[in-house]
Amino acid sequence: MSCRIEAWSYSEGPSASVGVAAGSTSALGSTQAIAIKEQASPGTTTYARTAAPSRFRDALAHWQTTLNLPAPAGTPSGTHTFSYDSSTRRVTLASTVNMRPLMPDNAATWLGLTQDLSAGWATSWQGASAPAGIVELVGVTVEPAEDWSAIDLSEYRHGRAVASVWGNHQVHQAQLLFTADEVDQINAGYVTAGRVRIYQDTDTTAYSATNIDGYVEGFVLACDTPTEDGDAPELWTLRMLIGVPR
Amino acid sequence: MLAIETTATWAFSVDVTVGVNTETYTNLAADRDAVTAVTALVAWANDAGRAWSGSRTFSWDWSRHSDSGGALLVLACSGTFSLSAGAATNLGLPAAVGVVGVVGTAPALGTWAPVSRVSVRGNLRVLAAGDGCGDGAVRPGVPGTAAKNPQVSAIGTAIDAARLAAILATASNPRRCLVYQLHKATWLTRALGDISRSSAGPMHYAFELTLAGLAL
Repeated sequence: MSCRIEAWSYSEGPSASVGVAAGSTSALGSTQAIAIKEQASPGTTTYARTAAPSRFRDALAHWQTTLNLPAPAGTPSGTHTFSYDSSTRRVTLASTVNMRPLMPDNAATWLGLTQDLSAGWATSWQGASAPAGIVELVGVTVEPAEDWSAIDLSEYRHGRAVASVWGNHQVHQAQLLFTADEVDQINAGYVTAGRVRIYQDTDTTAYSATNIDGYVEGFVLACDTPTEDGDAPELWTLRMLIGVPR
Repeated sequence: MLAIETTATWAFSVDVTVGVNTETYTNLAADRDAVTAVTALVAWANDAGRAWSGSRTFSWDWSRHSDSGGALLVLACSGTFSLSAGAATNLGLPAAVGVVGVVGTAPALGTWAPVSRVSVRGNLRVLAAGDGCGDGAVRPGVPGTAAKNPQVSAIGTAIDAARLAAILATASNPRRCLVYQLHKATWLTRALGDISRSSAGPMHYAFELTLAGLAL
């Protein structure tokens, strides 16, 4: 599967506890953060948080890197491997030692670790659900960019005319095609609002005027309700309007 | 071909050499579109003040660049000449030595050359909306000085659609363009208003461009 839509997580703002903060109890109000607790003493809870809004897989990598930083005493001793498998559509949080992931706020939905994490210890935790921050698609149609501007074309005496223009972005019309299995992920809302990246195929370079099959990255300006297609309730479509600053 | 005025820096200089004579053309910063710039370059090269006047005649042409949807310019001459790289950024014309023609290696800035070419029809004077009365006492404008509002359309590929959006992002404000009217072999300078795009089949798009006036 090479068509996918991937969302950005958002920060709650600057914090003194950005990165590893052993034993931090500061309130974390976004999907920017996860935490782990190791079974071995001292068993402290360690938070990892991205310093800026991050794309789903970038955030995973950042959390992994952050938790693997050389630790002061009492911080995680294990080496972590956080991954997303596009085939199984599951996130796996693994460590070299027994630990338990903690999901502040909406992180469980974001990552798909919606099972009960309150008991037990393990070196590897796989999400019970597909993550809401990234959705594998059956296909996607992304129209080439259109200049999105307001134009005042005024005509004056003696055949003169002036076309004044206001605008600062382009738009892409997109139509996502997915199966019934992905409807819950879509409805979670992370890929239908805010900043997203849509991969049209295997091209992992950015869209440009000469690379029109590249990924499109922008902000969701408008979004329809997912629609069930045909008589067999298998395929669904969703139309979106993606705005890209220019 | 459509060429829009862009916000790029158009004050470029390029050296032209014929034989032992080298002279420098400097484009006016106000000539902010590719057609005006290359036309001025050719007019300068053919001017009686040039050292090679009488022995060389320059001309220009263009062709579609299928990789980008823009226009590749061609600078041709009746004899050999050399060109410095000064026009490479704006006009896409690379440096060349001892040639009779230089073909652009990149599309000229702000140019759009869709697969269908650009259709320009009805370049007629159209009175703007205004007050008028049946006995002729009040008229909505003067027909002889009304703006000419041609109907401009084209069919293009996805690359052409992407190119048009990309060059519009670089357009000057107010927006102006030059469009080539094929059947009259004339470049028209017009204000460039709304552009609509619709599907023209699985692989192509239809474009309708609103042009008006003798652009200010």
